Amino acid sequence: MSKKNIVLKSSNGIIFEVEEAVALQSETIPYMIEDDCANDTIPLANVTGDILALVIEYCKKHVVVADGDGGGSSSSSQEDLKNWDAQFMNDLDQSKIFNLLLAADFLNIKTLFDLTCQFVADTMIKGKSVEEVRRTLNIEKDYTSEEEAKARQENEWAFK
Amino acid sequence: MTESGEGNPNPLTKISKIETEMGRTISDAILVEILARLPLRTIARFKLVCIKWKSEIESPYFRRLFVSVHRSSPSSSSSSSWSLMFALRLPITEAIGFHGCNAWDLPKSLASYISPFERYSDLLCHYVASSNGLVWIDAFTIPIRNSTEYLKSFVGNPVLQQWVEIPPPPSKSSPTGLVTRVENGAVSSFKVVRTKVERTEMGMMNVWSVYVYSSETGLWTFKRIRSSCRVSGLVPALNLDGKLYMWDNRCGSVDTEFGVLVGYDFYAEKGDDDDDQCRVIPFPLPDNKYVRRCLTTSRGDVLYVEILYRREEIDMASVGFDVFCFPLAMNPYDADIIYLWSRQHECLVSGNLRTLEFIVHQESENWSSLEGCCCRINKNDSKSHMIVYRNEHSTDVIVLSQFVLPPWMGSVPRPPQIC
Repeated sequence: MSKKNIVLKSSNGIIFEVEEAVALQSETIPYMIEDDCANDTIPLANVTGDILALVIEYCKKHVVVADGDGGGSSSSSQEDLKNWDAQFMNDLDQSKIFNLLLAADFLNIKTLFDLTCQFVADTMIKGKSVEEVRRTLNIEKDYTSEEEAKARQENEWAFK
Repeated sequence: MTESGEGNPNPLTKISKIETEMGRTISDAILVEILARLPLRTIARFKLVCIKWKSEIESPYFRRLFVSVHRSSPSSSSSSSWSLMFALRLPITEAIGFHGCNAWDLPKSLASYISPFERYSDLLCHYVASSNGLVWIDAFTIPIRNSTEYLKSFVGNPVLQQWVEIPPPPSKSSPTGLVTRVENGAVSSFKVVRTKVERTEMGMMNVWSVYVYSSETGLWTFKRIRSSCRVSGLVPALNLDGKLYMWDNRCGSVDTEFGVLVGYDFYAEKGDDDDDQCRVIPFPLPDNKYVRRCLTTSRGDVLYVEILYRREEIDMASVGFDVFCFPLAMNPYDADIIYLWSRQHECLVSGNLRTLEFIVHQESENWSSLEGCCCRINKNDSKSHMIVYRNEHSTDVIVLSQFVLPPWMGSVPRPPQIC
């Protein structure tokens, strides 16, 4: 049985042809296939070519491992995949990471969404002070100093 | 993309966007997904960012999201921080403690959050019991002849430093156990159980008299529970799903000379008085007269563990397993992992019953990484606590308490009077 291919088109017009199993890790694409069955090319208006290339790289890696050992449950392959994921994320700059996160959300790829959210949480948010978070995300402090002191007291354990 | 369709719309999918330094915008919904992947210590800190973050973090939606994300996270192996505690001994201490789980990210082991007990550091303090992350502490003076013993009891979460003071029991009684009820993943109620000290009268042999304090009423009630054997209520009790489990060895009958397991459900709906009875299960015949055994819980089961000697399946020679090796407890998340006390080496041993690997932990008061979690092995205090088992004829059932942090920083249930 020949494998069916799916053609994806990025927002800036770059065409990617991938095996169906790779594309179907996205839970959004099946709906687009149904809606768009007349046309073989699926346009992804929210994802640029460089980000779509990363998404496809991720999905290819994960589909291969899932096939490789009949279920993908062996601990060594799980371990390899974890290391590959870590390396994959470490090679990206912050702007790519954010865009990849948004693409994973839009395409509804659960494992990639988990991976990017966790990476952003661990590397960009976790070590920050309250002040730094406000500055980074441009959030205004709306507590009165009284309210802030009370909230601080209630959560004193987390500041030790 | 995570929890939806529960009839509880995500309050965060509003249109408002937050500018990030990336020059891109991420929606509140994604921001919440990111926050839910942080440890509780960071999340609690971030309640101070703004009023909106605080209310979002305290919402039931966020709690459910956090618990589901951390349960499925591959790196956390679904376990929370926990310690194996010595109950009713001085000072308050643990045999072994695992902290630094992804869910809480604590810098130190759990026992160090209790001891010294900050409210009454000048008094003697006992760790009595723990259930679903709540801990019961007794603070007291040493009773001197003709003086009244001063006693204060607290139930709370030592990490969050939230304590509820329990009023004194109606009359002289001994601490027995703590039970809790969990609703929607949060502790909704707790009960403190003390055994009334009574002169044993004829005909009263098979009655266990208890005082029960409920956080729902804020009151003590007296209760007589029937049992087919005598219940002393003086040994530390295990708890699981609102039930207390104790061992007792003074039943007197030949069938039960090696002791029985006594269980009672403090949250059961009692139809009529005939049901109000302890369950009594005799322990199996021991393999050896130097029986070494413990009572523990793991993954929702109560387990009775007994060491069988000279069995070839497990080569215990490498760790010197003999009559001086005592099982202490199982890992609450993994029924293949057992902890033992080796009197010969005077140290703790952890063993994996699946791979048959046993590790002798020689280090004293050392912080190390074990089972993928920061770990403290307290050799010195364990040694002094285990001294009571120096008699080789001691066939007591060892019961240590597992203080396991809950999956979420829920507040301690408060009785109506203190609301």
